[in-house]
Amino acid sequence: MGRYIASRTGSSLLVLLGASLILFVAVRLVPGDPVTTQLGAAGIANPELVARTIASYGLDKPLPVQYFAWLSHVVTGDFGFSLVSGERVTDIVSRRIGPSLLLGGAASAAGLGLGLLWGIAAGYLSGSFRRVLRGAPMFVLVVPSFSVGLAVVFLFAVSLRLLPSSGISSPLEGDQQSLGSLIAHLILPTIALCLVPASLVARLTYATIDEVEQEEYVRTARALGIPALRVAVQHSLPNVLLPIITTGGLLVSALITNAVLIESVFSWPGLGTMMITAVQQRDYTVVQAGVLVVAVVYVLSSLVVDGLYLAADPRVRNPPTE
Amino acid sequence: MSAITATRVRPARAVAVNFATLHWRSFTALGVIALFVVLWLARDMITIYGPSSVRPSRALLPIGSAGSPLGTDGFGRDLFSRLLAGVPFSLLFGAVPAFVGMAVGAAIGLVAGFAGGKVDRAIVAILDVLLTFPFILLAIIVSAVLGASLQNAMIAVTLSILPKNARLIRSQTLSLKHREFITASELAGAGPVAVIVRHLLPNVLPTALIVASTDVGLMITLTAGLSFIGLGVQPPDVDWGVLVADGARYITSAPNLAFVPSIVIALVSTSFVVLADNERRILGARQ
Repeated sequence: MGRYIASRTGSSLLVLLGASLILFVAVRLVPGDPVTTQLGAAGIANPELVARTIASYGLDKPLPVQYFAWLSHVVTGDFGFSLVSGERVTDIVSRRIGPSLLLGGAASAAGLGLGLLWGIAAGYLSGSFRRVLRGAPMFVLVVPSFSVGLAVVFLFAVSLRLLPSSGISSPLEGDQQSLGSLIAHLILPTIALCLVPASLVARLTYATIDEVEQEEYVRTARALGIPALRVAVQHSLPNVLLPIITTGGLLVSALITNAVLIESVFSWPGLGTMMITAVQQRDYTVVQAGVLVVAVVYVLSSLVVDGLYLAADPRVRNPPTE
Repeated sequence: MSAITATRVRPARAVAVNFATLHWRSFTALGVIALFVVLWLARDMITIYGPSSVRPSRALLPIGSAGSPLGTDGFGRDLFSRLLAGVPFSLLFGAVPAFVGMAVGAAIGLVAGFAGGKVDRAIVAILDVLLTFPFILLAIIVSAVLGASLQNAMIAVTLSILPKNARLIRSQTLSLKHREFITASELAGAGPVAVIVRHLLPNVLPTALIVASTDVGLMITLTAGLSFIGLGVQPPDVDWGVLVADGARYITSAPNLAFVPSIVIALVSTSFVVLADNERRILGARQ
């Protein structure tokens, strides 16, 4: 068990180191060096100023030295300054991370709940219901999530005028936003975002139910006359948890990718919209910070998922001694 | 079993009927894809206004308008001809990453599976780490550094499906590696390259093609997402994701502008997935 945790934590750290290295090198590859960009016309006339600036940024050092210097700043949360607004990148990111985590958390919870119900219904219902419920997940995966977002906007915001269509607060509210208004703004993006994880969970759930229903212990329980509901709850469903946990990394990854699209549909002030704007403005420091922070969130949630795996499966927790 | 069926003479008609019942789904799916290709080829004959002809007097016409059967956008551009102009971009945007990603992934998988030992363990360790890394972050890095464009988006998408394909082909290779025909050809003196190319590759090819076909469908949806947020196809070119993004601005006044391309993406994407799924089932039944 200790070895398992160590190896998972180690590979997570490797992912982050790899991501930071790629980000560092990638931004170095950008045409045009940062100093000429920053100094503009002043640099052309004054080679001494250029040399001084290069030295002050440590750009005359070898690349590995530069990388570790940069990394030591990043680890303390210092990402430098935005190339566009001049604001501290850390301030921009900390403003954006809350809304993203809120939307991501709400969509994960909704997706997990909906997916389980959907999968259980698809596993146990019969007839045409069953066929529709089993066909629908594949359909959800090929319909673009941003189209689903636009569809719920059209239905609930434009046609029915029930809920706000974009943003996280109404323009008039300012800083004192009521909880009700926050929830109202959160509902539509959550619906649009939760469908992808829900359909992935649903597929896993009904596939596992199918498999478990063939097992001897379920058939024995049936033969002993135990009521169907109790067989399902006590014997079949606990098995559903495991495949959901083992594909947890994939679920988190799908959620992050779709969250960027959904944030864009709803103008949600999160990390996704921040990164898209930064890419368009070529604001490299903000892109660097955004990608790294999301990578950290991804790696941490994968680790949590692994922890759940340990908790859920006694075979991993106490491996048989050889 | 197969020897018996092979010697039995079956009437040609029964074979044809059997073929049709097995493959009708695949043919329907292929038909949908072919329909869009044919419409694109015939675009000059069936559309009156070109995809980029701006006519303010014809702005925001509804579905069913004369000359613009699917309506027009805020600049008076014909949605139907813009949809057709997007056909090659959207199809290539789906197909190129899926097949390149499979070719490179298969190469890695074959080598890892056949080599075994340390090489295999090292490759698998790297693949496992990359397997579920959020693809959008990759696309954002590539677009930020190389600039947002169709090619760069395709690079990001291709990279994102490599690990999955490599793992799949590796596991197929592992299950084939100890079969008699491989051992026999090795004993007959075939080198590793010959064994991989002549014996392993043909055996993993059906799976590779089927998975790539599913991926084309999923990639069409995924890459449309990149175009939607401005990281994919750049103006003046259009793909279906760009059309949805443009249409989103008129969601209150002309919802057809966003929803028609959305439906087209879903339809074409489903077709590739259905095609692959059906052929996979037939192949599975045969084995």
